[in-house]
Amino acid sequence: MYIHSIYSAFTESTQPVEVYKKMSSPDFSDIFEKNEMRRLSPLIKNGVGCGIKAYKDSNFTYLNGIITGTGKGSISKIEQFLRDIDTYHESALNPGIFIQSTHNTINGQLGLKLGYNTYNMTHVNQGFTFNNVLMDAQLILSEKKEGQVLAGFFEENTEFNVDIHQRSGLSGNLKNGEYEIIWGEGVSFFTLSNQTEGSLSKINDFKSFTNLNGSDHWRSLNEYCKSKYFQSDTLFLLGSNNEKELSSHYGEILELLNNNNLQFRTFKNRCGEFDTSSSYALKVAVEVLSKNEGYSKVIICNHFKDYVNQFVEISLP
Amino acid sequence: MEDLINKLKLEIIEALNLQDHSPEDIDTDAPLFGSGLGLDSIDSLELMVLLERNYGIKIEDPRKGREVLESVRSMARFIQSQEAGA
Amino acid sequence: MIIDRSEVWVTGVGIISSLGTGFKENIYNIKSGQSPLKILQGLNSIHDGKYIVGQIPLTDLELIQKHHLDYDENLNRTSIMASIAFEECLTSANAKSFVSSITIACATTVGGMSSTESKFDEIIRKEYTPDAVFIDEMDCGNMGRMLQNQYDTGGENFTISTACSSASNSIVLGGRLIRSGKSKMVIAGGSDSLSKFVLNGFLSLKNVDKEACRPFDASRSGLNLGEGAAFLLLEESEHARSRNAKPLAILKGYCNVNETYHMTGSSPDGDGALLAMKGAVENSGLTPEDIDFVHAHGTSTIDNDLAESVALNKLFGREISFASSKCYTGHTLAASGAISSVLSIGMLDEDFIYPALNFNEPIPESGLTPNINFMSDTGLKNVMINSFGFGGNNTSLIFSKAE
Repeated sequence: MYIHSIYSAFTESTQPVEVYKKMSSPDFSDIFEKNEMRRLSPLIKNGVGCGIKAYKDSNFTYLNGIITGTGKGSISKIEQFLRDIDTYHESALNPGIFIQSTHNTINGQLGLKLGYNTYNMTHVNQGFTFNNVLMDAQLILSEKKEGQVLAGFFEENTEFNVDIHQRSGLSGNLKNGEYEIIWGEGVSFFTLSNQTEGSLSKINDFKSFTNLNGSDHWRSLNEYCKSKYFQSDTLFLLGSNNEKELSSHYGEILELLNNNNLQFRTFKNRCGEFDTSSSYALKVAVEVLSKNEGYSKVIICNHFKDYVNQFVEISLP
Repeated sequence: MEDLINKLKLEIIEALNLQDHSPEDIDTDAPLFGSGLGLDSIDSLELMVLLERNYGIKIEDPRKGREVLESVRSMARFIQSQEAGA
Repeated sequence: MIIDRSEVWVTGVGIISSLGTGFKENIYNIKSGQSPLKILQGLNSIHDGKYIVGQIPLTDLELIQKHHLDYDENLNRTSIMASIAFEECLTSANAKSFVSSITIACATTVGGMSSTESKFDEIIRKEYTPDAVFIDEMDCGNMGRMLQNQYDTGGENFTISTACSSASNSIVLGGRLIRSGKSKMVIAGGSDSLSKFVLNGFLSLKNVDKEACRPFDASRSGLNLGEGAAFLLLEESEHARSRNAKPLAILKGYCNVNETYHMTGSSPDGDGALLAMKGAVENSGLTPEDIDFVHAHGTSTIDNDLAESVALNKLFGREISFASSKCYTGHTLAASGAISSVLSIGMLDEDFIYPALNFNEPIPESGLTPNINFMSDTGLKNVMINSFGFGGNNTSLIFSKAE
């Protein structure tokens, strides 16, 4: 599966945050009419904007699928509607907010604006989402010989969401004014096909492992990495949130890298933690390969909370 | 009536997030839907929310709503008729 | 579309809705022609006692106790109903020893909302501190995760959320996974529970009828909400044969496609619906004349029923037999496509067509009349199920009788 273009909106700053790593706001004024902007939350604007820009940058002339994924969806609008239900005692409620809270709003807008009648799917599946979207896209490309797919990931965060994660202990401990896990958000869209020509990179392999079926998903990931041979010009991107996780979760992988003189970087210090953070790592991987930094392959090893992790192998086309 | 019309225009701009518009841009008698401001069915529902939240007037049937919401003036007339206890 | 020699069989079903618990009860009750819809109660809402809905008349705790569910895995109503339907599906298919081969493809729009909204205000006021479990069950994906955890399924885990077409899309995904050879067994379906959030959401759109809904009637004025869950075990036919599993029906064809008309309204000329229906017929290798009955989306909203009936007329002509079952179940949102599918499988199995309720006059633009009498022994062979969601997401499925 080849990646032909990417367009994204992440903060990428390593500076300490106020609440969470907020995504950037690219200028999409050439995509939306003034009248349209008024009804778009930042998430929806970024989702539709990145999707359209990624499509335009791809030189695709048709689409066989618009497939997106999110872990939590439009939580800012869900929260707003819940607050309004309380404030206005369940009457005089704004339908626009309810509609924006539905998870496939971005998909609908993309279909409408791009003007294609095509397979259109939204996966909303916590830490499994990233893998689900790639599987669905790959399935389309196996069904349509010269298929072309627009695939994307969108995630937003809110003060409320961060607050409850902190109060519940899901953000780890508070150390020197910062929690062990810093939350983030962001949007990234990719165009995919089975054609090498015009592509930026190739997704050779992707797999997720879970402990929900009784397996040890860290053991599965470690064994999977060990079963592969990596040349010296391979870079690893590891999804640890902090030093503690780097050794506790990725310790065996680090050992493997050490023994084979392989380089690695972490990435959540830039994008923060969220359900679909592998999409940020994928964007970084494509950029690393495009920049001639001396790597011909990037491996992403990531995890989300305690039940799922993710492996992706991307190489030059 | 004019005070109400001006107030309504400000409220419409706020409710529908018409950031680029000022009250002077909105023609009191022009159709709100179709041409004019080019609003759609969701906007008409949101204007009914405005009537309920700001004026305590509840319209149950969206089709009746469209009649009332034809222009800013028709909205103002409707509000006044409701306030007069008609 | 090249169709393999192997087929996608339905080898198990599970369902819970206002029609009852379990396949037998749902089929028995829909044959009666009596609507089980009742006045909403117990939602802790100002709308209690004011709207007719398809509500399951048991509290969460009563459902957990009645079905001996694991309390820790079933903390919200959507998950509870999903567990009940999933368990029946797996058991009816005799597939519990095959869980390592099973992929889950489920669907929901609200996820654990009934739980979230009950505590939201307290959380805001810092009177309640949610724990990790509570936080995660807010998400759509938590239901599938809970099911995989309970049943140790070894395949993939998907959750789709495309509004009212969600569970139909899970079934499409299941069909595609099997036809591509990626999976041998997929349990596909969905669940959605009533909640203040959704009720108020649809009320804000002013398309809810206080009285019983009237699908495809000229005077219709809105929908009745409902809740429920349904799952189908989709299985590759050779795999099913090898374990002596019999088909209840065959998933013959499907199509998901977005229309390009407007974000919340369907095109009045029915183009979006037409694309999905035509696509499913083409995908199945059948012709429009082969479709014996259309289990319509038929929400009873002004927009949907207009678009859908115009599309039915264009594709099939006026004589097509069709009806909506939402006057029996209410609109169960994400679950609706799976619930309609399971009901249709019962119809194919016992060769009957349920009567549409509350119909008086056709919609002028299409002139179509739904099936209003109970019909049996009509030789029902191929049934189409329609699910049309917000954002113009349209899906049609075709199930065929197992010979």
